[in-house]
Order: sequence, then C-alpha cells, then structure tokens
Amino acid sequence: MAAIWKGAISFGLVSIPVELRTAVRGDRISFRMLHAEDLSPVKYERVCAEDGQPVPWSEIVKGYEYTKGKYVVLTDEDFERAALEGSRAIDILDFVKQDEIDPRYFETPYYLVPSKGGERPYALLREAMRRTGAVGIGKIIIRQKQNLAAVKVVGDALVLELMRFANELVDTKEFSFPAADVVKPQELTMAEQLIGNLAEPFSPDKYTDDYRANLMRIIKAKLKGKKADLEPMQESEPADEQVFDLMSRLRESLEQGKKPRSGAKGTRSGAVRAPRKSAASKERTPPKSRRSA
Amino acid sequence: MKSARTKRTPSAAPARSTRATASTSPAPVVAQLEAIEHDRGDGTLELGRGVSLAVSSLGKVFFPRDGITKGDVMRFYARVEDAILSVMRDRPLVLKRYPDGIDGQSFYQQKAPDKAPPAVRAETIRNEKGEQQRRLIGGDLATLLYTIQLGAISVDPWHSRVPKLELADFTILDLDPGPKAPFSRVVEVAKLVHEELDALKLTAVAKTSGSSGMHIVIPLRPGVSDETAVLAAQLIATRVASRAPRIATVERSVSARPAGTVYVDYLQNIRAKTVAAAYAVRARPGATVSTPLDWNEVDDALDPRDFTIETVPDRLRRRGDIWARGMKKGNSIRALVEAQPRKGKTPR
Repeated sequence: MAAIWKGAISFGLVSIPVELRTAVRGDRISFRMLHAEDLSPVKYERVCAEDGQPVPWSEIVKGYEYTKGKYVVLTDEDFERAALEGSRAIDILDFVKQDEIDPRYFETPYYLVPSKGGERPYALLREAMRRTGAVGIGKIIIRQKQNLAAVKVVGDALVLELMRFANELVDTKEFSFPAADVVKPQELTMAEQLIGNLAEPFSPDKYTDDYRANLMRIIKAKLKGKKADLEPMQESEPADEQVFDLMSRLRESLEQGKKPRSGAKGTRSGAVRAPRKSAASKERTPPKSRRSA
Repeated sequence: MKSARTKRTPSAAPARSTRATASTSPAPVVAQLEAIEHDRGDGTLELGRGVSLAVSSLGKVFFPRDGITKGDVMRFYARVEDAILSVMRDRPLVLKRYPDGIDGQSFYQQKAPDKAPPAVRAETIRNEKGEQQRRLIGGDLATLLYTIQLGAISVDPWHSRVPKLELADFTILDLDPGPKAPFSRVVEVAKLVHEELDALKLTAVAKTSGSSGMHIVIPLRPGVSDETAVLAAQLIATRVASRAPRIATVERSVSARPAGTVYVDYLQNIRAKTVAAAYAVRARPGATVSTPLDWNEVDDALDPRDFTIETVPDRLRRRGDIWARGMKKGNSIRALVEAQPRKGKTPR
C-alpha cells in the first residue's frame, strides 16, 4: 500500500520522518451498473443541465452558490492561493489524556510508519507517550486541506486519527433527551444487573458484517445457478474456524501416519481423539459395538 | 498407532476361496437351501471345493409380519454373494443376533464362537481394547451363512481389514434422522453432503441404511489411519452442519439435537465401530436391504422401503454393482488437505 502522505512529526525541536498509511480496508463489495437489457456497463457522463449536451472536462469550472442560482467561480489559482503551503509536518500542539477526547471527534485512523532514519526517535516518542498515557493533538495538511489530528499509541504503532473540528459536530442541544430523574431506583438496579450479565471484554472479531457475507453467498450460489442457503449466517464464523481447525488436525494426522509405526506399538490404544464437545453435552449411550471414546 | 497383530488360525485356511457356486460341482446354493428348507429345515450345504456347512431350522420365521424365514435370508445372501462378499472381505464382523426373529431379544456378538466349524474363517486379532480375541472375518459364503445360522440378520464389517486393522479403507457419514425428521430431510442432507464432497473434489457412494437413514461412504486410498478417516468425516460433517444447521447437526448428545434435524454421525469411523454393510439385510419390517445408490437416485422419490431381499438381487443384476464401482478408486486425503489454504480465515 502506498504512503498517502510523507512528512514529519514535529514537536519542540524534534522532528521524526514518517509516512501515513491507511489503516482502514475498503471492504465493500463493489457493483457495476449495467443496462438491464444486455448487461452492458453504464457510464456516467457530465451533461449541461440547460441543454443536455455533454460537457468536456476542459470546459468545467467550480462555482460557489452564494445565493440561489448565483455563483462565484473559483479558478485553480484561487484554490492554490487558499491551500496551505509548505509544512510537510504534523505539528503537535498539545498533549492531552486519551479519555479527555470525546470519541465523536475521531474520524479516520491512519498508521504512522517511520521513514528511513526515523526509527529511533519514533520509538522514543512512542514509549514516552505510552508511559505518560498522552495523546498528541496537532494539525496536518493532507491534499492541501488542513485537518485536526490526534497521535496515539496502539501496540507498537503510532496511529494518527483524523479528527473533526468542533464546528463539524452537531450539538446535542439540538435534540431533547430525557432527564435522569424519570428513572425509578428499582428499575435501575434491575437494568444494571442485566448489563452485568452481558458484560464481556470487547472483542471486535466477534462482530461480523453479515450483510456482506450474505451478499457473497448469494453471488456464489448464483454463479452455480442455485439459490443461496442463508440460514447459518449467525454462526458462520465459528464454523469456519472449526473447519480450519479440523483441516489442520487432518494435516497433522497425515504427518503422523508417515512416521514409522513400530515404535508406537500399543502405546496409544485410544488412537482416535474424542472430538471436542461442549461441557454441557452428554455422551450418547454407546451400544455394545461401540467403544466409549 | 496401535498395531493390530493378527494370527491366522489353521482352521481358516480351507474356507478362503469358496466363491464360485454355479461353476462348481454342487448344486447352486440357493437350490440347496430351498431343498433343505422344504425337507426338514436341517441339512448340510455343499459350498464347493470340499467346503460344507451345517445349517438348521431354515423354516424359522425371522420377519413375522412378512413371513420371511431364515432360509429366505440365506438365499438372499447367496444371490448377492459376489457383491456382499467383496464388501466384507478380510474385515472382522460384528454380529447382532436375533435368535427369535426381529421382534425378539437381540444381542451383539463380537467374539467368534468357540465351536465355529472349520469352514468358517476366524482369526485372532487385537481388538479395540488391545486384547487378543478371535473374531469372524468376512469374505466367504460359509462364514456369512454361518452368521445367519447363528441368528444374525445384518452383519456389520469393520472399516479396516486384517492384518492392518489400524488402516481404514473408507470413511462413513451416517445420516441418522431425529424423531421428527422425515426421510425427505435425510435426502436433503445427503444432497448437501454430496455438494460438499464435490466442492472438496471427493467421490463417495450413497446407500440406504436399510433402516431410517442413509450412509455416505468415501473410499480412501490405501494407508490412511483410522484417526485420519474420522477427521475427514468430521470435516465434511461439520461443513454440512454449519451450512444448514436447521436440518443437519453434528451434536453428539441426543437430547441436544433438535428433533427435526438429521444427525451427521462421523464417529462410526472410530476403530471397531461399524455400520451395516452394503447389501446387508436389516432387522426391520419388510426385510429391507442397505442398498448402494447412484447419486441421481438420491432425490425426493427415494424410498428406502423399495429395497428389500425381494427386489435387491434383481436390481443388482440390472444396475450392476454400484458399490464396487464407487469404491474402486480411493480418494487422497493428502490432496484434499493440500488443496486447502494452510492457515488463516477464508478471505472475506
């Protein structure tokens, strides 16, 4: 993956060369628009809203609609003049505590990867931030636009999180939310218990994009000319893991089969491992011909 | 891996190669059985090459509702001799004996009877508990008919052969419907198994169990340990159950299985566990037979009650030995494993 930005983290007198790499995978299934009649791809064309004629790129300019139907045109030169120049740097202005930042401000994470020669100061900054629990707040110019950003430690990586400016967030005051005094204490106790029962450490792997998986199943089934069976979506992930686990056990058992047998004679009378089962499930009663596993 | 040492007892030798019936001097076995049954029911069968077997009470009714006798069962086996003997060849046999017919008491017999006649093949093997034990070994008509003489109806062979009892030559999925699952659901699950097998590029033979379920048998190349055979079956069963959890399950606990699901049992592949052989009669009303099927017969029209000791000999003549054809070429588990990604998850 190519770097989307190259520059340096600078704070005080220190400057650490880094690159910005995307930390988010575009995982959407993409579709092409087709003409239903013959399935030929359909393309976009820019047409003039007045006469319906196609307009080539060379004749397109950008306008700001200052009042209904009235535009002021901005040229490339105007954009260039507005663009923030020069500083290929993430200027860290402040260090704050992680939990002081309202998560609504975070927009998109990127990995900060040290450029050549930046490894040692990178590690130094990271360890210092780790020890102090600090998050750096600064500004970064990406594609001529200024962004607010937070730099934080995630494992061995420094992660740059693009942030929203305060004016981009809708204030909660624009909506009405119920006050706390409508809640009865007994109800609160019960609700707290319920939460306690469902309390789990957060494990993001647990949650899967079932819609995407469903779509892929439908696509695969259609390729085979069948209708997809979408039932097992709920547990597809653990089942996949089971199958993989079985595949690797199968592989292992083949490897064992290659070894000479003579040494193992009689040592493993229960040659077959009992399959795993949940602690709650009971063995079914074995008829006489069955060996209890 | 345990080595199953076997010893051939001297008595086993003469009975080994008694397959041909019509071509040898004695009358066809079917005719001899009829004659004995019409006479007093007791007599001696001449099986060719000097092999003989005493039989008795051939008129005894094994299937009361159908009036099918011990002689009928023996005649059936004599008619499908070539097919069933090759299914059983060199395999230890597990007998379920019904001395008073299918409605009476039954019991399993693993050990070869001490007084087994010389024509019967018995060998000392190391059983699943590691003990030396004499067992009946399948492959000839004398031994098969002797098990019926003892009151066994279906005879279950091991999935491995002497002397290498630790190597399985096929792996089985036993589709066992829950109390509320109709046979049509067994068919549905069998089709899913077939699809998974296709996806894994494995071949298999489906057969009716002769009872309420079906067996899907995947032939293996020589040299596969029974442990590997269990895992291969478990892999396929798990794929099927995860794909269609409303109709298929691999849950071992009977009480935890939804009553409308089909249990995809891969555990019958553990050494010394058995399922009924292809072409074996089952102790069920109608004297149904576990019958190998072409995959295109596995559809909604399939009714396991169509395959009985009356119909199967004719079917075998008409359609040939589907089992032998399907089992001829073993699947490579190594190829299966190597075709799969080594680790990680399926790309999403």
